[in-house]
Amino acid sequence: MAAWLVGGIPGPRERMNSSAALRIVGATALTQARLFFRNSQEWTRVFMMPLQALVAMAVLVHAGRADLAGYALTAALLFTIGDMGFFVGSEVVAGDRSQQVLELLTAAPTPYFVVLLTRTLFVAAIGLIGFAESWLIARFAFGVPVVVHHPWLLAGALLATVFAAGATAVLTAALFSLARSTRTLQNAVNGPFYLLGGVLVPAAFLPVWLKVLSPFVFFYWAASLVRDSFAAAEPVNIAFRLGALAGLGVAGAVVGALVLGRMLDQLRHNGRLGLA
Amino acid sequence: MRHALRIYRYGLLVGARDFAIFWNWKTWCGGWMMRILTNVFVWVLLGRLLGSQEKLHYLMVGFAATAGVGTFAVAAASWDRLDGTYSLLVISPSSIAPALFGRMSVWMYGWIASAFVTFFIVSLAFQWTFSVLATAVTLAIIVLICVTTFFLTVAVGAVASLAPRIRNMCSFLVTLVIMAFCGVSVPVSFWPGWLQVVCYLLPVTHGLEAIRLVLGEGANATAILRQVGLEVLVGFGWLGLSLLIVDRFAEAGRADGTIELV
Repeated sequence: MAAWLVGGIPGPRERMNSSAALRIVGATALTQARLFFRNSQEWTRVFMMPLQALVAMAVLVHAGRADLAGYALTAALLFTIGDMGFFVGSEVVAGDRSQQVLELLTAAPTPYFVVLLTRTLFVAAIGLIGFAESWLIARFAFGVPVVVHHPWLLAGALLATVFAAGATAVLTAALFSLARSTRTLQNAVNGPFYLLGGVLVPAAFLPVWLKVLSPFVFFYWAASLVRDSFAAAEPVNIAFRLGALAGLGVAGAVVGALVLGRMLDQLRHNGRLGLA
Repeated sequence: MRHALRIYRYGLLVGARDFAIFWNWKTWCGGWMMRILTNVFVWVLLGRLLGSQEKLHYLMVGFAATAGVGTFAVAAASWDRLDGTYSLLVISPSSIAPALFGRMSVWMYGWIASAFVTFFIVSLAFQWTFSVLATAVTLAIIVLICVTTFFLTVAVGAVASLAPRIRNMCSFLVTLVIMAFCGVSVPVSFWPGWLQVVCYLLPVTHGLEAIRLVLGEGANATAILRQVGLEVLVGFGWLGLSLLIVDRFAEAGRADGTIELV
């Protein structure tokens, strides 16, 4: 299945059993962790992004609406996960290409898609630090303790958000690796996604012609679920909303795998796989 | 001075090449401005969430006037070190300042363009109209804010170039500090007294205050001129500091042999 998804020139591949697959996923995640924490350009971002909670909290507290602190935390969390996905995760393929390891990785028996998805999921999961940091900012800089009224919903929403962000990053990583300047695209994509997804202010406040697009952005479902976990009111339609979030993640992964396969085929065909 | 201007011009040409690596006119309009505008709308909509027209206008002025301000320049201060041209600039008979100012300042022109376009589009989107005079004065103060912030970024960039790995972190912190503390999102008076003192020593704070006076009801020319004067003063302070430290930091690298270590 995975081999079909990544396409490329069919070659002799060993049938992977579950323990071998787990070993590969574990080794890939460990390698990504080492690469990530060795690169100060990347790991500092995860501590910088949540600082935006400072701005959001200041606006809300100044307006006498500390009760909306959950909105600030949701935004800081999703800004961080989004940044990890769009900036760090999306650079994985371009990085592999420029470091001349893409040829070796694609020649290995493990499908490159599996390696890439593991790495983007790891990077997106690191973004969860944003939640802890923004909670601490609200608590100690503004004296606002944000209560999680529905911890299971929060746990489920965070898990599904990390999956959706990591899976979407497979698609962006494949697309960005072909670009002349990855940074240009990285700079352009996150803003529209944050706005449409209602990351800080719910999408309901957007103009009608714009908010019809919101349900197609995974941030939309993620933001509403995370916000609901801070609200005292009983959340509704949880299964459907979590399903929509995970579904968008699966869609991102499938399209990402197809694009990745086409991209690798193209690069092999042109003999440019190792040229960055 | 004539030589310094000539060097500045060549620095600016190098900066223009840097700019062209990131953006052409199509990607700048479609990519960069898309990012800046959506980011501004994300924050401005907070006013709508809070149900306050006054808050909406406050956020609109703050975020539109500073849209894109502070980005890229701090990182650009380290690019000579990464390119390997830094040591050549240091041993040249001239000060490193005009070359550095030239290469970095291309981003300042980008901020001015970003803020102008954003101000125009946000005003249209929220149907907020101003008189021609108020608009002209506002745009002039936006230019002033960009120039004073540029001097701050030169000073911060000089520090960051000592450890180029932290350049992007410093760049992010500059934009965050402006957004949080310089009257962009909340009035400076919201913060504790000691922090307010720091805020008034930073660029943007006084300039933004002047813009709010210009666009507010019953604009008082004396109060506006006072804030503009203070912004100019703060700008000169940061210019002086940056001129003082760029050569010293460069010389320090030559003295202890770390000039080519990145």
